[in-house]
Amino acid sequence: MTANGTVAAPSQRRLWLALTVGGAVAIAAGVYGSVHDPSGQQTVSLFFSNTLSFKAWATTIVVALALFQLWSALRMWGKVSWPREMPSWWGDGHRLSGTLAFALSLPVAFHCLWSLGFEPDFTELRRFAHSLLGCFFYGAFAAKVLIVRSHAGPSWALPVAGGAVFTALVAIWLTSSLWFFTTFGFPAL
Amino acid sequence: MTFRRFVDGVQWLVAALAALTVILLLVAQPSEASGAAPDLGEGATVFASNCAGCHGSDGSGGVGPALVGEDVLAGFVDSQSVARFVSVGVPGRMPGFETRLTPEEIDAVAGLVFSGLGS
Repeated sequence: MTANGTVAAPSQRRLWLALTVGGAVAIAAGVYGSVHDPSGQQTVSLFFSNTLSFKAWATTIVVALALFQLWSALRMWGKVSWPREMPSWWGDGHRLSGTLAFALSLPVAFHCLWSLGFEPDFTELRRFAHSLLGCFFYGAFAAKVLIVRSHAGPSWALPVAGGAVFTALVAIWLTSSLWFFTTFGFPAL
Repeated sequence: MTFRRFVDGVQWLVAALAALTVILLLVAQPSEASGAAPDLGEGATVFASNCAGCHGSDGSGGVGPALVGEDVLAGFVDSQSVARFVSVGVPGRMPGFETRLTPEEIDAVAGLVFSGLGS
């Protein structure tokens, strides 16, 4: 029931549900990062020399995939006109790029949460902002996926959610990978 | 298999990977081989939250050089010289901590590092 006495439409209820789940995910990540005793250990490094190099490059690749996400979404919604003819795989390519970006972000988030934890001291501005943004990113991502899957909310809900995810990701890159490359040099493999 | 079904399959795999990540977050324990820094009071706390990310929780190195078992400390005559190094950093290689830590915290962690991390 809404404030003016009318029953909320199902799609509006689904939007609130998506936002609630997203908020819960963000809070859960923040709580875990705060109460978990950081191990300080290296985790995944693949073929990089250490975990931080892997994380800096993985996050950069995630941002590149997110840029394709943004462009492909804008094309699907007719906000850009290139390519003039959308290939038949365009929509699925959009889904695949988002899926791969999320997959690649998981080992990065694991090291952040398990090895480093949440920075609660706001005078440590970069790390504090990065901690908040990381939690917000996964919450916004969860909400966005639910909005897409359940067709929740008004027409502006999906672009707002997608924009929030993309903006958070870029801010995460600025407060981590860019800092890493400017502090330790480039390419820092 | 169509491209759409392939993407569906990838999404299921990634959903499983996400679930596995959450499980690992809850159950993974630090390895004993590279255990946490010894409990040497404030220095150990400062080290864990400011240095371990680059130098490893046991000082064995990572993106930054090892702080134990090598000659990296040979150029320092005392813990105060380590403290000055930590305060200023090395442009392009290591951030300075003068504005991030209090002088007491820098002294504590410098003492810990100069002692070979308590070894």
